[in-house]
Amino acid sequence: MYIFSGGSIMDIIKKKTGTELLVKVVGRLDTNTAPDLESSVLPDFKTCKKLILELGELDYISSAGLRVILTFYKMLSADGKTMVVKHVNDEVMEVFDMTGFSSFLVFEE
Amino acid sequence: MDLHSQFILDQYKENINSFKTIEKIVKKELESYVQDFGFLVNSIETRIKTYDSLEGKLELKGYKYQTLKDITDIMGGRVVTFYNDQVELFAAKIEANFDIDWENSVDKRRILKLDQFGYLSRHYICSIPKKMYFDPEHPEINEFRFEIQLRSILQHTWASIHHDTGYKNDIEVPRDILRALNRLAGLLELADDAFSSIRNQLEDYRRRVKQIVKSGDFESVDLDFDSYNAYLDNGGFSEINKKIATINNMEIEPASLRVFFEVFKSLGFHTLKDLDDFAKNNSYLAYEFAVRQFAGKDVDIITETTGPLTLCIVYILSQDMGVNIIKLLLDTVYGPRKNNDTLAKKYTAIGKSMGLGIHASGDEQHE
Repeated sequence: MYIFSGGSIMDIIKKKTGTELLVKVVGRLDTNTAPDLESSVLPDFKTCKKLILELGELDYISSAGLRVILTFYKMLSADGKTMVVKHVNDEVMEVFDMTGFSSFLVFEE
Repeated sequence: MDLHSQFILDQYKENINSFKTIEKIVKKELESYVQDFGFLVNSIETRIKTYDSLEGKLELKGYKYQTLKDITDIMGGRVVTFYNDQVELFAAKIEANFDIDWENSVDKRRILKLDQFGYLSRHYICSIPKKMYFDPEHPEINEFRFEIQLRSILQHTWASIHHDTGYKNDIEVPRDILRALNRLAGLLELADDAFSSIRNQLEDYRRRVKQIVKSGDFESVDLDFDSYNAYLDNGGFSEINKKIATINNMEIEPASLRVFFEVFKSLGFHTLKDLDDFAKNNSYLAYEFAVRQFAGKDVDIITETTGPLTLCIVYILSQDMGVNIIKLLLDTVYGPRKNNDTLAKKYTAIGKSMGLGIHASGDEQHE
């Protein structure tokens, strides 16, 4: 699903295997695109036990993007479910590090 | 199987659903006590005697029972607490909420003579009072009796091992074995009291530490996990987080600071005063460092880890400990990761731009 919003482009690719939901986010996750990621993924939470956020091709994340990821993390943790963030590039990891998000997110290569 | 015992077994089959209802009510009631007390217990178990087990019991002593209602252990519940004084709390709740058949209930502690040691436990024979549950179509639910056992985990250990010997009562046990078992019962009774005493001491200590931390007298308090938590509860690093948050008018998201306890111990802090001095003395540098990190970035959210992490970074750099220690810090806080090395170098570079860590040794070898 391509999202072109307010000059930002983001692509979301979702794949569900059993109770595992893989969400690949490509492009920019910012004020314009973050609400679309939230509305696209949240409905799947009822049936998902593990969320894998594949961020290998995410070029940029802003505070709005961080807040959506925090929402995912909080909702899943509250239900005893897990979230894993994969293949984060150096630029995005820098944002996770400086904000302290790295201290609670679970990363995988 | 004689006809009388068969009659009781038929009654059992007819009433099995009522026992299942009793089991559910009892379990829910016992679990609600745990909620009320606010402490954990080792286990709450309930079970219904199987048909085969009842058949075996009736074969041995079926003559003792007129009807199924005379058998008091068809449904049984057991609470195993961690501490022996918690048994008393459960006992009080059970006595207050269930109908108790006192004639058949046993407090094993009262049976033992003062110079005897052995099984200490409470066995209540109860029934469900109408105020707890009543179904006019099934009045038998309030008539069947059942047993609730209360034990501490050490009493449970002793009873389980004693049971494993296969003897039904002490008279069957060889004298030397019985003596060894009873000696052990005495030892466990002492241990039970000692565990309760340790818990009481710990609770007292935590209360005391909280009061001292509140009073601000940090010098007299050793840095341990309890005093650290009291320090955090008392505001801890909120000042530095608030200061950093002013940079981009950032929102501060709560986060666990547990991992930093290990860091502070590694940095050689022995008292809360060491920790508080560290937080106060490095506050300005940490703010400066954060300005260089955040200024101009589209980031308006941080977690509570940002303050203590930044304080640690500037402290390590100002003490010329070098990039390797920064990497060690990141390994501890984030777990070992490939990019901790790059990040440590980046933080060291920011520090150097502030005039920090310029005399550090080891950086060259690392790079």
